[in-house]
Amino acid sequence: MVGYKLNGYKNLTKDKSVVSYLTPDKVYIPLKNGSNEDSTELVSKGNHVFKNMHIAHLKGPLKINIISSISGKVIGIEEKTFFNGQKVKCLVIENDYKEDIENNASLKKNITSYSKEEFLDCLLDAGIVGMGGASFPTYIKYSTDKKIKTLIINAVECEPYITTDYRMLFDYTEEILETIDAIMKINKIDNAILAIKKTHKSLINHINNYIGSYDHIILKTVPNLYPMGWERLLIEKTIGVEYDKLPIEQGIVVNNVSTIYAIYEALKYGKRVTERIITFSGDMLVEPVNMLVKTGTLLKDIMKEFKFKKGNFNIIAGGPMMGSIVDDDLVISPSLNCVLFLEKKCDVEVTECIRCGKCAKVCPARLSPVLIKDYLKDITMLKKLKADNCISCGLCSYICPSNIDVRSYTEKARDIVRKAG
Amino acid sequence: MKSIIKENPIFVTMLGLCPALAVTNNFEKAYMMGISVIVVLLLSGLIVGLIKKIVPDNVKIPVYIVIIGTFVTILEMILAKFIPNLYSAFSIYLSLLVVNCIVLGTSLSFKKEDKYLDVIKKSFFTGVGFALALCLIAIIREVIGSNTITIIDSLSSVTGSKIVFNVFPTNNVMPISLFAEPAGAFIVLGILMGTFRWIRTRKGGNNESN
Amino acid sequence: MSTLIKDKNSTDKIMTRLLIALTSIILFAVYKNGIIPYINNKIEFVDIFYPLLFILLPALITFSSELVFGLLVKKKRGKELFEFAKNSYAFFPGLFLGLICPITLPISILIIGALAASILGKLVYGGFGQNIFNPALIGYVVIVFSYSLFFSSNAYLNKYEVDTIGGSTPLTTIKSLDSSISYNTIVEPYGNLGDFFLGFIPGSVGEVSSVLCIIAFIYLALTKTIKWQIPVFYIGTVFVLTIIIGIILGQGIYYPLVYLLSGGLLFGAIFMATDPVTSPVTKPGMVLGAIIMGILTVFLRYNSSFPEGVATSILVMNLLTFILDRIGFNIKFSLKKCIIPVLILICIMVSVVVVSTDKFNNDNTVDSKFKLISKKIENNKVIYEASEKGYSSNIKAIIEIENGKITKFEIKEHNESFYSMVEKENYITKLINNASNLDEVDTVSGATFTSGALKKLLINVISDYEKEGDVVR
Repeated sequence: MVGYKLNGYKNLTKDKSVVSYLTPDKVYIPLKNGSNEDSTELVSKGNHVFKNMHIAHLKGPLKINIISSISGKVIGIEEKTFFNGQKVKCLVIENDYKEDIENNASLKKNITSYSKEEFLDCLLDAGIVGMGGASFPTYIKYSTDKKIKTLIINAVECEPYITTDYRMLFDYTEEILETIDAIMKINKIDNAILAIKKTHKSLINHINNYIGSYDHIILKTVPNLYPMGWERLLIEKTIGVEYDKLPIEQGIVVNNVSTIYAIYEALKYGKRVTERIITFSGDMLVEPVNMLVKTGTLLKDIMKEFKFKKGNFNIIAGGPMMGSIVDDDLVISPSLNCVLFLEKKCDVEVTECIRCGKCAKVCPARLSPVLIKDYLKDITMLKKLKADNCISCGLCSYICPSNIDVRSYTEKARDIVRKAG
Repeated sequence: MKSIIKENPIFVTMLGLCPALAVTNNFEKAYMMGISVIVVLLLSGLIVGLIKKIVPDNVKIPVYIVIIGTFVTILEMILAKFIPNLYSAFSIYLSLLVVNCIVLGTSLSFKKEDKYLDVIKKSFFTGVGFALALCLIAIIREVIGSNTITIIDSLSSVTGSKIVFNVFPTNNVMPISLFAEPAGAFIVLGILMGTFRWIRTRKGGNNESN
Repeated sequence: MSTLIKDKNSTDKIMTRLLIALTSIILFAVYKNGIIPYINNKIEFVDIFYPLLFILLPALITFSSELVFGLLVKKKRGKELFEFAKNSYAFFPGLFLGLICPITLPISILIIGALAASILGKLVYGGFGQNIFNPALIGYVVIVFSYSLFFSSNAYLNKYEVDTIGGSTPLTTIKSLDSSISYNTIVEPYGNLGDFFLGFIPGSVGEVSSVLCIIAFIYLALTKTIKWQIPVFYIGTVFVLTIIIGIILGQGIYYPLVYLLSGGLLFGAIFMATDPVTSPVTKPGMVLGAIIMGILTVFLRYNSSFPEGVATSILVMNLLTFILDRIGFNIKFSLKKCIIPVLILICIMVSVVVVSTDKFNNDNTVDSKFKLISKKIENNKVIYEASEKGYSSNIKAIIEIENGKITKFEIKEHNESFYSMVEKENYITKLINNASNLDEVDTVSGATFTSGALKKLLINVISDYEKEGDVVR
């Protein structure tokens, strides 16, 4: 079995109930989703905006809407830090604490009675993107003419420290199951599989109380390996199907469980994407928590709510394997699911590659990073080694006994192959 | 002059390695082979320089082979008569001189415009470079591999005496006989090639040019 | 950017675990080659620690040459220099070299071997991580081929074994016996199979103790320190092939076990073949390499003059690592792609088995191609008509013995190509004149088989004659 068992650290936040911080003075809504920065602002400096209102529109094939998370006055555009470490343009809104809401008119009481077109419109309108970190606009996954046979709900959450999906599933089980059922009826999907790590025994017991009433939703447990939450590996493990580029080729759609809840709120209450639960954890935080925060909140403001231990620490947006080091100018965006405060360690010494082959053993994409590192100058060999399949999971760097950053080589190779076409 | 170090036929252009591996287990064989190559190169250079203007391109190779073959055969006969031990020690490698890449390649490398004096100079110095390289390999192989330096052994039929040195007292250090065998020849050749490359570029470490 | 959490395993841990695994083997070597001879009053007290010196000195030498390399070429100084040498596993080649050499090897030669291992095996390639061949084996090969008389089978016996067992290592015994192999001849001289297992048999310093090697392997495999697929498939292939050969030769289960437990197979497979830098990285590559090594070892042990084929097999596999990785990456364990290589491997294995056992069949029958065709007794004369297998044909002869003297030795028919040489030497007359001590008569050089056959013919006839009671003069 590929993948590797990591120390999860989930117990730090798993069983605590969710706290919230919903009163920032200002929010900085990032005008970017994933790699799409092609934005058209719908409001300008001096305008008054309502909570839940469209304030910008991202164009292109992955078009999506940007929503304001508070009501208040637009005071301009500033640059803040995005979760990938780079700078991003943000629309700054000053909070007037009035909580005025723009309502979404076309609501239906019974969420199964939406037609497919209405469903897709609602998702686009609400600005729903993949909330497990992928940022892929969700409505695109469902806008297909192909028959969707299976819907897989990804509640695996394989990266260490993160427990947002866990809490979501635990606290909102009924709503999530209801939404899955609705999505299945709207899109005429045959089966749904809810995938959870087999070590989350209390969660599994809890869900089994509710899942019985839904015939076509099955609970499937997956091994406690990283990166089990990777789409390709998850599909292979749960239903044993392989595909070429996109899972929809085989009639499969994979959605993160937090995204499902966002869909619920959009379909039932017309609530667009304005807030989300984020795990704040790490060994430098005295009290790690899961916290409900508004999009656009500055990390600096949230950090005032925390107590830190003495010592230098790194702020990481995302998990410890795939996240990036950021500063406290980080703004919350819909697909960010975790912020870590880890102790700054002195540089580890990098020694020679001993060709032990551990990186090749654990790679989930079944690559041989050690061979890719050797053939970095040779494009034909890189193509043969399928270097463009690297998903940057970081297991090769994690496991290397010589502390070599193997992932940087595979990522470089991936870029070389992709550029060569 | 550059033929000796910068374009040394064995270590740099890597031509004619056959005799370099075969006859270098003994210093005397090496320098005799070196002298033979110098003689052949010089003589054929003399003739080639004269006729290179009139030989058409498409028959160059057979013509040069005939010339070189003539001289090699004469040399073979002389050696067989006067130094029969050496002749049998060389066995096939003397005849192979005819198609030895160094000899043939040097002859073929002369263009119609080259001056006669240049032709002779280049032939001579290529031969000297080859001979020096052979002697270098042979000294290393013989000292490490059989603890002797043979200056005159088979030639004793001409000079009448043997001169063979033992480098270290024989009962203290035993020679590593691997170097007297073909495997050792490859190893020594490889290390020397690497050293020459390092001297040439003054960069890079102790890498063997695999 | 590297990941922010890292696995606890590091190169340090790997080296430490290897050292732990080797410690028991080193201690056993001291016990067997130091304490036991001392107890039996064969050596002095000080000499008990000689095996320790024997093993640690090459390690020290390889370590120092790595330091020198770091100083001169990589231009490191001070503490950085020491870290560099420590991280490059510098003393392992020396350690392994000490463990695979015979105890009676002079220290000076061991030093040469260690220097060769370090310089020729590692440093000319650019240092740690760049070498193609296992450096300990390179050093071993250099000294085996240069000083082969120190590696004769007697050399592997320490002072105690020379007196008690006196002879050769088990593998040399097997090689020299060829046809008359049985439990008595192979196992008995050294004790019983238990002795093979525990390690009280002659061999090089570290190789003998099979049980310690197996325990070390289990420890290293469980802690995922070495590539466990390689020893498993290597030893497995040798085991399977020797079982088949054993069955064909009609030997019992002890036969493959003796093969496994003697010589450097276990030690080489577990410690030398799994050297991380020189072995394949991909799983199919590892399995394929191990099977090739197994086939080669069996082939060399039966069909070449080496009694021990392990070092060469491992070096060949090191050479093929590059190709094995290329193959290993392309095979994705899909059944279709596997079928052809697997069939090829099976064919090679079958042919190796056939070639190896064929040799035995030939040997067995050469001796017994003597056929007594007829025997007539007239008064005091016995007339024999017999045939013997010569070089390319059967030689039929008539031999008459009267009163203990050979009166006639006439060749009736033959088809030997070199018979003229035998005639030129008047060999038959020679045989007749030396009839009382035929074993001392040399065969004719240039026609060894033919003259040998004539000699055997006469010997067999005479032994039949002497059964009657009379002696031939």
